[in-house]
Amino acid sequence: MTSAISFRQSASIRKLIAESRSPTANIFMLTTKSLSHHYGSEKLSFPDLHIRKGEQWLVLGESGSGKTTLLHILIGIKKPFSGVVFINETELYKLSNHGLDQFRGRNIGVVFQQAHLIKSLTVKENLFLAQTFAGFEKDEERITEILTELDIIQKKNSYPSALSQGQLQRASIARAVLNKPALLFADEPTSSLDNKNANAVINLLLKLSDANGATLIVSTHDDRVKEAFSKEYIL
Amino acid sequence: MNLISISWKSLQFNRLTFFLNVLLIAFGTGILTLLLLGSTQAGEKLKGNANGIDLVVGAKGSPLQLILSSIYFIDFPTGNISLADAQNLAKNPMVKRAVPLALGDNYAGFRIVGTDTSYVNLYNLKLAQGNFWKNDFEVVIGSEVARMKKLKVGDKFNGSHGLSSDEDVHEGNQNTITGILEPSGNTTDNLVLTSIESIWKMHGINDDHEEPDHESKKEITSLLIQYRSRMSIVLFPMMVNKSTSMQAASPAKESARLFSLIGVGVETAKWFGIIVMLISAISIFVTLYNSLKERMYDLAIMRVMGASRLKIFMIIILECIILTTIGSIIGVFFAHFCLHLICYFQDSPQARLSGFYFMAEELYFVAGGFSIGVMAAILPAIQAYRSDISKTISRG
Repeated sequence: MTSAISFRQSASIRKLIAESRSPTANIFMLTTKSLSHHYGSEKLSFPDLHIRKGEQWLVLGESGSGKTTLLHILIGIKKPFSGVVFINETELYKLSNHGLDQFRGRNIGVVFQQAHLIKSLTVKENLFLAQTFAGFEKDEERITEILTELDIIQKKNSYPSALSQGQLQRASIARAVLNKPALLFADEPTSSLDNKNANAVINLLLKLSDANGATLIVSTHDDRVKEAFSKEYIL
Repeated sequence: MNLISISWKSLQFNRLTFFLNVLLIAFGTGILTLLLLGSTQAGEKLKGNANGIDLVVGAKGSPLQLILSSIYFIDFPTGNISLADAQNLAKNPMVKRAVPLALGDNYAGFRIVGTDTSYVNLYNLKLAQGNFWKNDFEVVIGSEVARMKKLKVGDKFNGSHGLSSDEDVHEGNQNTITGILEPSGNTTDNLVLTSIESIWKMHGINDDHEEPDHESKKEITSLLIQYRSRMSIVLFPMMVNKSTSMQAASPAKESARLFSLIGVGVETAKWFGIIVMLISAISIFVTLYNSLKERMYDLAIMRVMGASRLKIFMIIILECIILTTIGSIIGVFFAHFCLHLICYFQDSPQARLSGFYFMAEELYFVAGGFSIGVMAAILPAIQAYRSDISKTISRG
């Protein structure tokens, strides 16, 4: 696929790309090389990631360490200053704008810190929207299945304003896993929750990523969730 | 779920704002449509009724009043003219046809017009039922008179003195309907036609030759003139105005004058409508621009779900197009409804306009509403198109 995005590739970057396309590359779901970004004079450099299919990783770091920036780069909404991101064998930022949007919709699920649903749509319609934008057919059976699994089926025709914070969070998780993405990202999913709810959300993410065969990457500064993950990157 | 339904849901979410903006657009479009329908129909009526009439001769006074009363039957006549003078004028070689009219009575607001067969020929009137009048107090009624008053051939009624009121009823002589005209789409639909003699007799002027001054008492209201040649356009009116006690008024000239008088009001109302449309466009723009700040996060989430920039752009544009198109369609229909309502309560049936009159130009107003929607949405849509998802989501 040709790319509308172009950025200078140094010799070292070209070498890294060549390496990442080696026969071992396809065993990794997510690979990054020499990623960096900068805000004015402040430069953020990120460790290279090599994450296999189905693995569950924690990206830990204090506030300002660049966790959210890294996550935004990985989900394809922030172009890095340098470096490359491969998901499976697709180099993310070589895709055209439209191609990147489609790829994100079909392969990546994201749970944000704020469980945000579109206010003018019901829970069910919010999930239809996720199917529509990803280019999938409307699948009400799948929506019922996931809402039942997350125990919010009774709220499927409710507007977001009628949902509790916990129900909103579960609805946003449902939306993220609805299309069975290969990669599931969560940005600070527990930071505003108490211990019980934080535990429930993490368990849910682990369970759903397992069930759907998705690779899970949770970015957080919340130490409470450390025990649930065996693999972690520290920024 | 398609883009239209996403936009529609978003509009429904802010119902009050949606309603107010639709109302503004409908109001602007409604005014413009009402003006278009009203002025077009009035123009057509003026032109259609005056077709074939080159000049109207009547008593001295306002020439516009003479035209309005003798062709359109919507004003009071300027007075009467002597039958002898009128007959002399009709014999002039420049005159091809002279149609006498005698006004003065009405039936339930429908004017009773005394005339002869030349009036029937002038408008090429045809009967739907019955026969034309032969004897005194026999009348032929227009199709609207028959429909509105539920009259049929053979029915009888009493006319009233005056041109609009039914208070001063002529008790003595009853009029008998001998025929009903086919609808012709002009003033004749709303007239009661009879002989001039009937009008005279109704007012106590008998065709009694033994009475010494009976001829001098005979008057008519006006004479509709058709020239033999276009050469007479200048000479004949000048001759009437200078050498007789009557006045000559040209329908074409007076209609143009009437339109220029009405035109000032029409033009003012048109600009008022245009300003309302512009205000509604600004209102929609401001509403959208302000709501966009709140909706940026929604739109960013849609982008994360895979929506392209173009889809986000289209969602915003579609919202405005739906809103303004609905507004302008409602405006057009509302204008028809208002016109029909106005006409229903209108006093003068001769000048009645119709709400069931449709013009292709009305589609321009719907297209105008569509364009206003695009114009009002374009800046907010570009802003949404260009927004940085990462920054929006980070701001929360």
